[in-house]
Amino acid sequence: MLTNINGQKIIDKKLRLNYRRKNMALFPLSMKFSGDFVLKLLPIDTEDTMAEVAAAAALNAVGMHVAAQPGKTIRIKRQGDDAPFDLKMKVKDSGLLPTETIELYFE
Amino acid sequence: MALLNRSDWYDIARDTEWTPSYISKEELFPSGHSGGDGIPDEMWCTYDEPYKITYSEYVRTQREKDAGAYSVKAALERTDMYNRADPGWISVLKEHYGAVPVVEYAAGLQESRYVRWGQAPGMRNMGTFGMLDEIRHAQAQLYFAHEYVNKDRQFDWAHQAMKTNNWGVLAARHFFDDMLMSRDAISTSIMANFAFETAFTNLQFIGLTADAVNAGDHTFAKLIQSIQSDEARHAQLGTPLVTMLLESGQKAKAQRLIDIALWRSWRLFGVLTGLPMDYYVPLENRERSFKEFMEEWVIDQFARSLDDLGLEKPWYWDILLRDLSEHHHGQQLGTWSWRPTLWWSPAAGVSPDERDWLEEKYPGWNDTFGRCWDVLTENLVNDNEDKTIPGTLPIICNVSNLPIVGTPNTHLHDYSLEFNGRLYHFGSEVDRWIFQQDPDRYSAHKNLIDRFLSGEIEPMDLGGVLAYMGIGVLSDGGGDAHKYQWAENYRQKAAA
Repeated sequence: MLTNINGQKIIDKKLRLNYRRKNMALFPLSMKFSGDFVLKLLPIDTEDTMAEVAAAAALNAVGMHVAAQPGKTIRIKRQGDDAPFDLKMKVKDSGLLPTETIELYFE
Repeated sequence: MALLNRSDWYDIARDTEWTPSYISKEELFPSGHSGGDGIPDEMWCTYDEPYKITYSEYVRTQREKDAGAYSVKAALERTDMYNRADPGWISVLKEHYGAVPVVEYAAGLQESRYVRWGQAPGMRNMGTFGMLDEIRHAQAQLYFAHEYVNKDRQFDWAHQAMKTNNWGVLAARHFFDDMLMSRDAISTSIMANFAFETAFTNLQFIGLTADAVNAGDHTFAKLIQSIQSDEARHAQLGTPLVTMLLESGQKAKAQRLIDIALWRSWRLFGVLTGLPMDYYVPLENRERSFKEFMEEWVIDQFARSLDDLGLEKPWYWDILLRDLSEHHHGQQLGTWSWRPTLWWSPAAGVSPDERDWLEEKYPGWNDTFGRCWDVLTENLVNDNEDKTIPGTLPIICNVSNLPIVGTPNTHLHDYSLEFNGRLYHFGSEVDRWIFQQDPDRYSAHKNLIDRFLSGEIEPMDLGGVLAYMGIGVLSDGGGDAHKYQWAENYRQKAAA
């Protein structure tokens, strides 16, 4: 728990950032969600599929800085690429480098 | 005994020089400290500072300036400005005092290096006064901020900020260490005095003075006006050096130093000055927009200084012109969203009237940055405060050390570079270009995200990051300056 100089707890309910899941091979990416204003750190697992990456990325953008688009699918591509990744592809097979930027967009 | 007129002795005194005999000139003025390689020996005596002053004149003038600022402060203490001020204005003060006073001490060290390593007597002379200027600025601003510590502990950051690893401090320290503390005297003076002080201190110290007067904070207005009167004088230290580089055939070197300093200053001042001017200062007190101030002080006036000297506009001029309407709006969204990481409480500045003003000053704002604010506002209207604070960290530029931001749906890009097996990220092609000018200078530095991912910050959660940055240690972090009062308009509209 983080306390202030008077010993009071100050972080309360905002303690949501936790990058260490059990048995996780941390693989950080940089995410650029279409409609967002900032690149964000996206910690994922090398065993995650692109669909799981999209779901994790959405938590950091959709409904926070980007409006939801119900019924649409989130696609992922490497920054600058034309074609998106197959949503079943695993991160470890994508050739992405740690902290490389992926683009996410609704389709 | 009658005193001689200044004009009768000044030139002899300021030109006093000696020829070293016990050590070589290279030992007296080593290249790494002094700089000026390629400038012929005889050219140093042509250094002619545009502003001439004697020590007694300097002391008299500075004493009057101090008396002016301190007497206004004393006279106005009873007016209770602090308790009557808009919370947005208090945030301006907190951000300024955390970012500026201790950097002034660093600037004192910068000027002191001219006193020792400057090869022109006039430069050493002016450096002495510049050093005393900066010490005065540090002491005055620490003293003025200290008055507020008993009202709000966040003012303690005035003294403490630069000793922390707060992300904003990392950005400021990286910039000022690069420009003020780690280059030879000639390069430092061209970057800091000519490019940074001539172009940018006007923004913070004159532009913000107008807003301070409008906001009724005459104490702060008088203080920063007093400081700028010194800046305007010692900023002139660098101009003769630019001329000497040009005359010795080193235009490309001068241009490169200026191009680096101007961009780095611009990006940092987007946060330091851009946010207060366009978001924190109460709407009715805003003199002009940040962009309008930039257009006057930098785009017009500084560009004219470059032209007058025979230099070119930086190669990225068109990028800079575009950035005037973009960068600080992204930083405002970022700083407000990650407000628990700040030592001040940012004003959102997006009530309906404020959004109208932003759209007027920055056409297209509503359709770009405004869209992100729409989502944040909707969350507040629906009592989802949690969904207005990100659960992750932003990616940070390896040169500016600021979050990499851009214009939604228009221009947000990671300008990356793989160097010696490490992937670096930059907020613009200019930041990447700066890195490429001297990779040895920049490549070893770790920004906040690098430190986080390499395990230097424990525990690896938001609490760990905040504690690493001094939040909760020196004071609590920031919240919304107006406690979301601005969202009430939208709540009522939604309920209607």
